[in-house]
Amino acid sequence: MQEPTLLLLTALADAPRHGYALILEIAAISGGRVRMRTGTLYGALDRLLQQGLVEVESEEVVDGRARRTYALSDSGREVLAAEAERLRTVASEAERRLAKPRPAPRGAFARLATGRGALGRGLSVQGVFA
Amino acid sequence: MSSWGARKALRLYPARYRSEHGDELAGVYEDTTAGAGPIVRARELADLAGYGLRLRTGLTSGAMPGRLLGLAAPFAAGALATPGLGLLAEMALDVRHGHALALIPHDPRFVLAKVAALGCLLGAVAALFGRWPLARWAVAVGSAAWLAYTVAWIGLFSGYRLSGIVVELALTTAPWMLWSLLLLAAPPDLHRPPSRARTAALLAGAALGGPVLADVMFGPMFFPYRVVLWDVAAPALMALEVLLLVLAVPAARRGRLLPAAGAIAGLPVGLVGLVVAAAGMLGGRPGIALVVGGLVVFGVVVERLWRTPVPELERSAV
Repeated sequence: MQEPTLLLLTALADAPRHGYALILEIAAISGGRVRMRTGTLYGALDRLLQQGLVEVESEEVVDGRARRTYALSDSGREVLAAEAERLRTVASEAERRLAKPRPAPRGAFARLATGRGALGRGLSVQGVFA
Repeated sequence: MSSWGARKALRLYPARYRSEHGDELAGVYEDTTAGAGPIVRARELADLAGYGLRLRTGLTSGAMPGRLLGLAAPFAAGALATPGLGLLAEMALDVRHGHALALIPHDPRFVLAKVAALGCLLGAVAALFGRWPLARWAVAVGSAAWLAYTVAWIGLFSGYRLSGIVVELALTTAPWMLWSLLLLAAPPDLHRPPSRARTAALLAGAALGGPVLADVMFGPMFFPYRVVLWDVAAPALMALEVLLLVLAVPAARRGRLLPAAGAIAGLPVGLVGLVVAAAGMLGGRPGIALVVGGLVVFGVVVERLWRTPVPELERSAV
C-alpha cells in the first residue's frame, strides 16, 4: 500500500471526516511530513470510493457550500487492518533483530578493530603494505 | 465565494463532476490556502487544475486511458534509459583512448544532448527503484533538453524548410517525446513500488524500445547496427505491434489490459518503423497513405479501448 493511501485510510479509521479535516489529519498523523493538496486528495478519494474502501457518510450544506463527509467502509477497515498487521509484523521483527547483540567482526578486520593487527602493533600503513 | 483562480481551475473539470463536487473542492481549496503566500496558493491551484485535466482526459487510475498508461510507463522509462547508457559508453571510450577533453562539449547544443540523455537515464534508474516522483522530474528535464537540442538543430537548417534533415530530426525526436509524455501522463497513484512485473517491463523497454532511441543519438556512427535495427529488428517489432493491436480490444473486454498497454508502449517504435518502411519501400504518396492508414487503425483500436469497461482495480494496487 502506498503511503498516501495508508495515511488517508488511517485518518478515516476513528471517525468520518470531510475534505479539509482529512488534509489536517493526514498532516498530523505524518508529523507534518505529508501535506496533501486538494486535487491529490480528491484523486485518492475518488479511487478509494471506486474500490469500495471508502464511502460517503453524509452530505450537508455548511456556510452555503455543499460538503461531503467520508467514512471507512467495512472492506476499507479490513484492508487497513491487514496492512497494519503487516507493518506490525515487520516492525516487531526489526526490533527483535536490533535487540540482538551485534556479532563481533572476524578475521583481519577484527584484528584491526581490536588493535591486535599489524596497525595495532604500531606499524605504519607503509610497513604493512611494504 | 471562491477565488478567481479556483473558479478557472474548476472549469477544467468535466461538467458533471464540477456540478457534483465543484463547491466542495472550492471550499477545501479556500480553507487550505487561507492566509497562505502566493507560492503555496499557486501550487494548490496547479494541483487542483491538474486533477481536473486528468479527469477530463481520462488519465486517472479509475479510467481506461490512465490504467493503460500506468501499465505502459515502466516500458517507457526503460526505453528512455538507452541514450544515457550509450552516452556513458561513449564517454568511457573517450577516457580510455585518452580523449578526456572530448567530455567537455565545445558546442552548447551538445551540453543539451548530454543533459537529455543523462536526465532520462537518471529517470529510468529512479523508476527501477520505485522513486517515481524523481523519475518524472528527471525525464521531464531530460526530454525538455532533447526538445531544445532538436529545435536548435532545426533552427540551423531553417533555410531548408521541410528538407530531409529537418524531417529526419523531427521523426527521430518523436519516439523520445511520445515515451516521455506517456510516462508523465500516467496517473502517479498507479506507480507502484518495484515488483518483478515492473522490472520486466522496464527491461523490455530498454531492450525493445531503447535501440530506436540509441539510433537517434548514435545511429550514424554505427552503420552496421543501423542496418540490423531497421532491416531486421524494426520489422519484427512492427509485427509484434500489429499482433498486440489485434489482441488489445478482445483481451481488454475480458479484463486483461497487458496487450493494449503493450500496443500503446510500442507505438513510438511502430510509428517510426512504419514511416521508415513507407519511405523506403513505397515513397511519395503511397508511403504517406500507408502511414496515415496505420495511424487510423491505431486510432480505431484506441477509440474502442476507451469505450471498453475498466476492469476493477485490485485492492493491492492502492
